[in-house]
This record gives sequence, structure tokens and C-alpha cells, in this order.
Amino acid sequence: MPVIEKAAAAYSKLHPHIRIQINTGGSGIGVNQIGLDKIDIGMISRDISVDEIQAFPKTDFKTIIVGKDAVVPVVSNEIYEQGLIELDLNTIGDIYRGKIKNWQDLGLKPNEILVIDKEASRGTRQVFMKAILGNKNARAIGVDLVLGHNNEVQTAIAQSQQAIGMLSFAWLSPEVKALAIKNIQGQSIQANLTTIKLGKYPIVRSLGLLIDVNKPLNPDVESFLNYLLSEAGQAIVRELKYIPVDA
Amino acid sequence: MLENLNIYPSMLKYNKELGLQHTLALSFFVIIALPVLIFFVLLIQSKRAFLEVGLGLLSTSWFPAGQEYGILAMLYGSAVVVILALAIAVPLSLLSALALTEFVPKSLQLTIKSILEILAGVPSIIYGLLGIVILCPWLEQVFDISTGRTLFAGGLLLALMILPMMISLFEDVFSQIPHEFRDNSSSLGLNKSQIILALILPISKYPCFNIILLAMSKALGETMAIMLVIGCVDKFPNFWLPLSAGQTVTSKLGRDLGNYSFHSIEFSVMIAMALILLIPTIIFSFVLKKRELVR
Repeated sequence: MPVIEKAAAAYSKLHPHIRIQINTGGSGIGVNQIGLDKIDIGMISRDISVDEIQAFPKTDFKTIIVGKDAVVPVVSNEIYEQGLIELDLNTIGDIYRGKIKNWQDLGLKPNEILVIDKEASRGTRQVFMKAILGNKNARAIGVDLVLGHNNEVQTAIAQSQQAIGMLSFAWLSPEVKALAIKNIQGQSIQANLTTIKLGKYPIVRSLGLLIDVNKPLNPDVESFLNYLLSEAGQAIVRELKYIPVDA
Repeated sequence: MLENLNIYPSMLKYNKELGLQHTLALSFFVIIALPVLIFFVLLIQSKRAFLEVGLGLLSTSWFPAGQEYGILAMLYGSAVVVILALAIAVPLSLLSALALTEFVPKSLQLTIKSILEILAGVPSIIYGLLGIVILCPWLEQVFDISTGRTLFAGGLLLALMILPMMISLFEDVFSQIPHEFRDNSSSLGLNKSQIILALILPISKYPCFNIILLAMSKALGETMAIMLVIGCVDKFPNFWLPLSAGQTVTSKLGRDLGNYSFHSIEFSVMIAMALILLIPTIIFSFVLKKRELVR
């Protein structure tokens, strides 16, 4: 998560004796490494699963929320320019189920839909799948590509002229276009700071840090966690287009 | 050089010999122990998969959330990608190496060889990025497909990655054939192509097979670059042409292994895949060694 990278750099400047080492990976990796007692803090952007809790009986996982994020359906520029600016969750679901395979079915120029999914344990994927298919582990038969990091998804969608995928709100860029979500009342809801804060935008998740409370908390770790929740830490959250905790 | 130091030369000599013996023994032990260790770790880790999933492994459906652990799609992907890579790289590298040894002047030969050696050392993620930026978009255009991230892209990229190593090794083999052989053959009236077909290739048959085997295991084990260009969908492709996204054993391991806990069934199944991946290399290697001994 970019927030932690930036916060760690800022924090290390304030406390030069503390070195924070950051590894990247999906939420699954964060949970695993905490369970195996390899790290002090894990990053998780979804709920921890029952299986994961059972896999590590000696670990008492606690999640500290440091910010919020929305997951946004995104399409290639070409699709957006043809006039597709909103979709309802059910239609997106049908695309991922493989029921809708061509943009023609949505009133655009005939072209196959390139459906981009993410690795199964990624927080972004689980939150998105819960919203569109009702189950965080849903099988998505219509999927053409499985990618990992938000960065990778962003590149693939920007490269293509016919792709749909999911991105963290903070990772939106001019090369990919965010779709608004049409709710049951027919209102079109754009993901932005206001709609996310008010809880109107339907695909929102918490960005959490995971610790093991069965272990005595290292004072340096505690101090870093406090820093993240402080005004300075939350400013970084805001600066990187995530949503602060109190919002 | 040590003799020049002029301190207890006899002592040094004694120690040198003993030291050499010990180092050799140690290296020999490591060489034997390492593969055995790797094999047993893989075997122990995959025990759960074989016992609990068993024949369920032989399905095309990978869906851990629904207790489906089929690994055929990954095995198929690995096979397709490696066969493609070898089909492209073997003839190409053989011909290039022959051209290099038989037709290119010595000075140019050395330059080309050092370029090849640099290429062989390029980190695989660089090849992967080139694959995403150049190869995949190009495949999209040529074949008019929605994404270039396909098994075919994986095979092409692998071919490109093993080529420099293969050319360089083939060249080593061919250039070690003594020049007298070539001179004698040509004084018997054989022309260049006859010398290649009747002398050079038959003499270097076994070393060449070994090189191909080495390239095959390198290709089977390649992870990073493949992971970026093959699409990573755990699906058995719909049609026999590899122009669709797929998954190899290594890309699956690369993307997913870290996400599962150490003793979970998913982890065990993934290790089982890795173990199965070793089998063809082991078999080919034994067959080849046996043939060489019989000869």
C-alpha cells in the first residue's frame, strides 16, 4: 500500500534509529507472514477469512484500520469514449460471469470484452467480487486475464482498447476511465471522496494493519501505528487519494 | 605463486593438497545432497496433496474456495510453452552456432559471443517487461486477438530467453572439434555443408542433447517473465491453438504460493505441481546419460 511506504519514509526521518522494511504482496501474504511470525505488521485490505484464522491457531489477529478505499470498475479509454460511463453491479457481474462477452451487447461497437481479474487472495478482488457476484471467492468464468498489483491492471487496461477491470480508487489515472455505478433507483454514483465518505458508493473497503495481540507489542511498532493514526499519518492517507479513518 | 612467499614451502604444499582434497569432498557432498534434499522436501510437502486430493489433481478445474484442486491446466500450460520454446529455439540456435563457428571470422566470432553472454545474463523480469510492452501488443495486431498475453507469447519469450545461452553453448561444442578433422575432410573432397552434416553434427550429438536438456529445464523453471505474459488464467484453453491465455506451473507458483499458509492443502498441491514439473527433466536426463554410457 503506497500509504505505508510513504508514511514509513516520513516516520524514519523523524526517528532515524528505526528502520522499517516493507515487502509488497496481496493481503493473503500479509496474513500469512503475521501467522508465521515473520513480520511485525501485516497489511490487509479485506476481512480476514475463517480459514486463515484457523490456519494459525496460535495467532490472535487484530486489524487496525488506518484508512478507507473504494474499488472502482474501470474500462479502456476507447470504451469510455464510445459513451459507456456507467454500469449497474448486475451487468458488471454478467460480464465477469461470461454472460456478456461483447461490447455490442451493451450498445457499443462490436468488439470482444477483455475481462481482467485479479489474483484470488487480493483484497481488491474480494471486495469487488462480493459486490458484483455476491461472494468474495466467486468463480468468474468470463475472465480472460488474471493480474496482480493495481499497477499491472492499470497498464493492461491502458494498453487495451476493449478491457474492463477493477482498480483501487487511489490508482485511477488519466489512462484508464472509472465507471460510475448505477444503483437500483437508477442513480449514477461516481466514486469520489464525498460519495465514499457518505457511504453512497457501494464498493468500499477498509485498509487495515494486522498485528498479533498474543505477542507483546514492540514499542517501536506501537509508536509507528500511532503515527499512522495521528494527524500527520492521516494527511499522508489523504494526500495519496485514500480516505482518512474519521471521515 | 605461493612458492614465492618463501615461508615453509613444504608445509604449504602439504596443506594445499589436503585442502584440495577436503574441498573436493565437500563439493561432492553438496552436489549429491542438494538435489536429494530438494526432492525430499518437495515430496514431504506434497504428501498431503497426493493423499487428500489424489486423483482430484487430474482435473482441469482450479477453485480452492470450492475444494477443487485440478492442476492439469497448469501442467498443460507448462508443456505447451516449453515445447513451443524448444521448437523455435533449437533449430535457430543450432544454425546460428554453426554459422558462427564455420563461416564467421574469428574476431567477429568473439564479439558476437560476448554479446550473447551478456544477453544470457539479463534478468528475466526485463524480458518479461519487454514481453508486455512489445511482444504482446504485437501479437494482438498480428493475430487480431483481444489480448496478446497468451501461452504463445510465453513460448516465444522463452525461446528468446534461452536462445543466447544455447547458441553460446553449441558454439563451444562445435569450436572444440579439432581443425585437423575439418582439414582432413575437406582434403577428401567434402564441401562445407557435407562437413557439417557428416562430421560436426554426428560428433557433437551428445553434448548437443545435453544442451537441449539444460535449456528445457531452464525453460520449465522460468517464472517471472512467463508470469507477466501468459495471462495467468487457470483455464484449459478452449481450442488447441495456444493463442489464448493460460497458466504454467511456475506462473501459478509465482503468483499464488505466498498467499497460502505453509501447511495448507493449497500449498501442498502447489508443491506437488512443482514436483511433477521435475519429472520430465529427470527422465530425459537419465535416458540421455544411459545412452552416453552405452556408447
